[in-house]
Amino acid sequence: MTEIYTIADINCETGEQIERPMTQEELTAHLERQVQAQADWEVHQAELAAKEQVKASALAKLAALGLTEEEAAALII
Amino acid sequence: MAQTYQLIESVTLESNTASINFSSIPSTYTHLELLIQARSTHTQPNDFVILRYNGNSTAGAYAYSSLQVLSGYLTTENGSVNSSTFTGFCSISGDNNQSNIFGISRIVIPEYKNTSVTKTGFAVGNSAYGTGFESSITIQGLYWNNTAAISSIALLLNSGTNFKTGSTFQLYGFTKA
Repeated sequence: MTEIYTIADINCETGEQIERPMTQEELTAHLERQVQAQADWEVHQAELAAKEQVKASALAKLAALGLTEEEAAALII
Repeated sequence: MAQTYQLIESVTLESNTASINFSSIPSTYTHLELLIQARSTHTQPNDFVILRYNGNSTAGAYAYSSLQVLSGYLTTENGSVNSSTFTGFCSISGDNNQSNIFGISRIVIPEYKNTSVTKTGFAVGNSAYGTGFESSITIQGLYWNNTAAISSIALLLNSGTNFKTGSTFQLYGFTKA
């Protein structure tokens, strides 16, 4: 089923509420933004995954020094 | 002037809608607050609401920071996103979720008409996540690198095409005593 792209315009001065289809320009901008947002999100997720890897490495090194899991976790946020 | 908290406008969607746009926001208040109870058509457990002010979609005009707690554990900490064309990132429910679950967010925008200050704000939200009613609790810092008075606020989704039928959006205004 084809998705319909509509905008609810609420004029706060008059109280008028209009639901209308997106213009071609608005639709293009909307779709482009979503593609960009997805790309930004994936970059961010990759950064988080890299941080998790560093954290796991640090925990392993602390364990090798003899710290318990709880002691090592207390040192790393 | 007595302190007031007034409903400016409220909308409940009767059909799926891609964007909500509050326009011609009166300049008679001191602060604004948005209450959102919404669900996205995105086929994931959750989605995120984003905001744009005055139709500004310029790259780098906005930033945001976000903390997310999932089932009692801090799982995500977002730094400010450079070159963002929006702010917000408030968690709401997605469509891969139990039916009739809607995420909620409260967004506060202080001094929205004060042209001496860069516009900041914050948001708190909660959306059910997964089949066990786990909570995705989010706290956001919002930033628009602009001192213009805010006269319109557009709400869009990060990933989904539409806000689902039954989603509600309420804009309130505060005046200070």
